[in-house]
Amino acid sequence: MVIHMLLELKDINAGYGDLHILWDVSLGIERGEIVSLLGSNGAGKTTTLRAISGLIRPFSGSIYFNREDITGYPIHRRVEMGLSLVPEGRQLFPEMNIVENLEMGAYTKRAEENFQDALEWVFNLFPKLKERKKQLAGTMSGGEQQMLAIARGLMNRPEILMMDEPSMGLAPKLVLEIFNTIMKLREEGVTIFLVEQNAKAALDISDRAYIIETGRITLHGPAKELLSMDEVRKAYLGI
Amino acid sequence: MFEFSAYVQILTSYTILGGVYGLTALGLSLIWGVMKAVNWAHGDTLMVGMYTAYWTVTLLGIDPYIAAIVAFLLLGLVGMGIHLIAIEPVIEKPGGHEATLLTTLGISVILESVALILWSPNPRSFQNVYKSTYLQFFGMRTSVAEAIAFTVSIVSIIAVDQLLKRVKFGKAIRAVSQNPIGARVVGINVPRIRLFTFGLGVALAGMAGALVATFYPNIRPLAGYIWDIASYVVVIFAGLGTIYGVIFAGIIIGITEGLGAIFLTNAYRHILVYIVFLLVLLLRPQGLFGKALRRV
Ligand SMILES: Nc1ncnc2c1ncn2[C@@H]1O[C@H](COP(=O)(O)OP(=O)(O)OP(=O)(O)O)[C@@H](O)[C@H]1O
Ligand SMILES: [Mg+2]
Repeated sequence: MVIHMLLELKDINAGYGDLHILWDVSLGIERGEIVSLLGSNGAGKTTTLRAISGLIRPFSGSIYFNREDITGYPIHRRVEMGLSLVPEGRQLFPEMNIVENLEMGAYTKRAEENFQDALEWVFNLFPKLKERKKQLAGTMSGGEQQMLAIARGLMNRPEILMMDEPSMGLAPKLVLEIFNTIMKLREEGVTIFLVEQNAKAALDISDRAYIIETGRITLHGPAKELLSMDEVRKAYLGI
Repeated sequence: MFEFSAYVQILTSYTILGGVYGLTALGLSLIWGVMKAVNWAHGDTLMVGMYTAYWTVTLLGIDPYIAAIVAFLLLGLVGMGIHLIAIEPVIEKPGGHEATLLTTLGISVILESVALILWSPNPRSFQNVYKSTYLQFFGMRTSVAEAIAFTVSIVSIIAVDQLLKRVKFGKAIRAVSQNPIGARVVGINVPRIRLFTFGLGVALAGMAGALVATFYPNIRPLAGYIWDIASYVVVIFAGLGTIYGVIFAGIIIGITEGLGAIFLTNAYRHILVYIVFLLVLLLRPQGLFGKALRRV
């Protein structure tokens, strides 16, 4: 077996306690790609991201990052390697202000040295955050919190940014803004792994996509092909 | 009967004790905030801090405040040991937070039994110049030992606050207490933060014990109980997760206890503390300082 992608999952089985959720999930992401993972509620998308990021340990299977087997690594070591997650529910530090949240995003050694540059970078991407440096995260609106969560993930200067439903609960205008930002990030060399329920928007900006149903990958291919497949259109695009 | 000046005297002493309650409670508050664990052995580690001061001063003849530093460091290590035995193995398991009630109770029983076997139940105290030298101010009289215990307690609380606000590692402690998942996601080594926080909390209790030992006539294996209760009352009174609230709540509880000693006699002085405590729980369950100081 040749491992050549930036991130690769081989036959991952995972779940919670006795609950088996993911069944032999294999997928890969090339450097510079935007790849989406689509599926309905409870299909196992968040669980997949938890296994990759190290929030949970898989029952079996392997995860490779930059050709290194990271399956047994604790989460903080994976973050240190450049694997960042913008988690479901944002998971900000509610009683810290914007700058403090971003400082925590730069907690790793890899991020520490370039803190000022990274700060400028994310303030350029999200000018709103710059205007409100001292606002507590807990008092921000949902859209602002989502931007802060993405910015916090970027402070680590990740090689790959994994995002769990970044458009969840946002007004259409903000959804557009978030997807524009994702495209901008790709141009700046950040590889993106995107989990979404908003399948149409995700497929429009993705290079490739995987579809997961009840814990199994059932389809995968170039985003354009998936967009034109009848089964995808019926199940996920409502067409 | 007492004269007015005697009342003032008693209240001064209990105000000072309240400052040390604050320091002890801070340790509990940190541990609760970061890992939602209840440490039933907290008062017992304070007791070990008392004996650490007693033995280092009487056997080695060193200054009691060097002994307080020794107690801080030693109990820091003891605290990390307790953490690795009683907290870390259960804290992430289902029901783990509740389990710490039992595991730390076990540690408490062990510490008290070992202290009884090694040091007998007899109360001890030791002589030192700080205890027998007095300060006079505004008609109040207090030993230098008590004045130092109060001052060091307040300064230590402020130092911990600054650690949490300004130092990266301290900010990571706050991050874990505000959102453990978020903390893991940004690459904070959460088990290490838990270990350090538990060690720090117990080190503060150990130092409090050593400070109190300089003037306390009752160093004994079961001396920790009163401190457990007082510091839990302070923590809840202050509202969980606040730092300066801990100073004020400590002093209020100290003064309340002093009023109890005056009006209800010494033996029943804690009753007043519990009455005030119940009133606070009924009227302001988030604690007296819960909202205003939450930003720490
Ligand atoms: N912490 C947990 N403990 C137990 N079961 C869980 C846990 N988290 C998720 N599950 C279960 O695992 C399954 C997959 O959940 P997951 O969160 O991965 O789905 P998802 O695809 O992200 O769904 P959604 O679109 O609703 O976010 C669900 O049946 C869910 O109930
Ligand atoms: Mg999900």
